[in-house]
Amino acid sequence: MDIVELIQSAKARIASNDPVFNEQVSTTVALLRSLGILSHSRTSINGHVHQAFAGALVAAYHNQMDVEVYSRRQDDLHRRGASTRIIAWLDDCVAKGVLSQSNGLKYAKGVLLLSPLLTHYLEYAKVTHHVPIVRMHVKP
Amino acid sequence: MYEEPLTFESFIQLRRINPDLYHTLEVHRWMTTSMEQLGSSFFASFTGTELA
Repeated sequence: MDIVELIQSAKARIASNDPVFNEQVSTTVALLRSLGILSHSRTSINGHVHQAFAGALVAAYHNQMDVEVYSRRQDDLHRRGASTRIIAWLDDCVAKGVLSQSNGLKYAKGVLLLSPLLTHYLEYAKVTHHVPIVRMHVKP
Repeated sequence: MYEEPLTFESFIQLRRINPDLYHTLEVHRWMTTSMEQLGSSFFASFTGTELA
């Protein structure tokens, strides 16, 4: 499915407060941040865009689809309401092995497959962990 | 303060145990630094081959 459509679908899924989906999105954001693909600064401003991008990868995993990039033009992305940063992020995902190219290109174009690293941590995020939640700044 | 590198799983656990601490800039920098220092062993539970 096209990346912009996946992002729109992911935004709706995130808003629906599906706990498994949101856990997988958070894990994917952490994965992308640790690899240096997404920035960890100014997250209060850009965090929702990062969540939507990671959500698109999770939505592709849930729907058993590939991520498709048909246009790398910033103009097309902007017109369709997507962040113009997503091409750079997708290129980084291909470079760092989070997404793999089916056609041998070194950048994001055409059909992109989810890598074993990403699917491993999406499976990992589904596992229920019973841990106490400690809130630092909330008074009892 | 955060000199010892941790694995990706440890940071995910931290997010579940103490979300307020996890969402600080220092912890995210710590995560990036750990990834740079540990390389592929940062992803401790991942045994595949296509690793960054």
